[in-house]
Amino acid sequence: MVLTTSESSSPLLGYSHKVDHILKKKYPKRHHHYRFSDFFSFDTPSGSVVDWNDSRNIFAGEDFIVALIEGLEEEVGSASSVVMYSMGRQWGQRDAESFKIWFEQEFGFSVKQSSLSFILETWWWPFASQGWGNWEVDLNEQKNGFMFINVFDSAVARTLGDVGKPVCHIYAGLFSGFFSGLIQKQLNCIEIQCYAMGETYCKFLLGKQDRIDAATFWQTEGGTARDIEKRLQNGEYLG
Amino acid sequence: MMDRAQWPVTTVGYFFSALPWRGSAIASAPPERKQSIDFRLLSVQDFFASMAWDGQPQVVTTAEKGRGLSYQMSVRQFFGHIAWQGRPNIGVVPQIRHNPTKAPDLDLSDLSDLF
Repeated sequence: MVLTTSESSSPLLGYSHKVDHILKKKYPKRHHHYRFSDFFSFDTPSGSVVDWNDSRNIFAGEDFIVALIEGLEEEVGSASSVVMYSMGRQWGQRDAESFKIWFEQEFGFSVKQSSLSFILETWWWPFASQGWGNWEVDLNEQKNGFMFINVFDSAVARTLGDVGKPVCHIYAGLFSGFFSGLIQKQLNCIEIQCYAMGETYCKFLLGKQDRIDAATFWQTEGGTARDIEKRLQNGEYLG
Repeated sequence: MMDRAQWPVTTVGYFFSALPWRGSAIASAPPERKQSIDFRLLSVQDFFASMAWDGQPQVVTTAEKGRGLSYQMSVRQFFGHIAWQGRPNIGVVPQIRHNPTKAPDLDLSDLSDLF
């Protein structure tokens, strides 16, 4: 898993030296740059890694993920999931802003002029290169006011293993923050199915507050992803 | 000087006799020659049939036979002349049926309208 900052020179990390991506400097118009050796640029003298979009990257192993989640649980108990969600949400909101900028710089047109499928693919490719897994967006329920996002090989769930409950709260926060920033509407997200529950992939529900609140309630009551999906399709919400 | 296009339908004797051995061209026409035709316009069958095998050239033109193949035809006409199993129907492009079930590509405003 790779964590990123929005800029390659981050004062938060005590790092002010701007590092150029060597391959991007040579081929600035190249689009197929998501291979590991192409996407990352390793600056050995400064010990830093920047990606194609000029974000500084920090490589973190499974020990880091375990330490982060268990450390949070130690500190705040069951609220750790909320903290992880909030972290992801702020990350997603900031990433939506930087995404709009680098998208236009790379392709010469804005996200508003592009097709949705191209936007979504372009946004997630860096995450796939950074080890956050592959994804699939399911827009079949668009008429019902929500959508599903499937994540395959989630870094968090893969690390924690079968713990019997959803653990990818940072992903849910990331999706809620990014899509809220992208369309300028308040959206929320919940993971309704997780690899850490013994499923084959993680499934996230993205929608407005009322739908996510309802899904959260049904999940707390023991509802499965299929139960939640059916109820939402039937137009059930919390009264 | 003899035209190159006439060589295949010319007898050997006339061919050599027509050459300007003495430095002056022979103005007389080849014997029994009906008309001149570019051999490249003939079908393979007509080409070989028109050869002066026995010293008596028999020129058969495409126009006389009413049909034939020529490299000057378009590809469509050329292959269209061949009776493929009696039903010449070459190069017919099947009609592409429009698939009305395919959803149009969405954009960002469509996503915004979703919520």
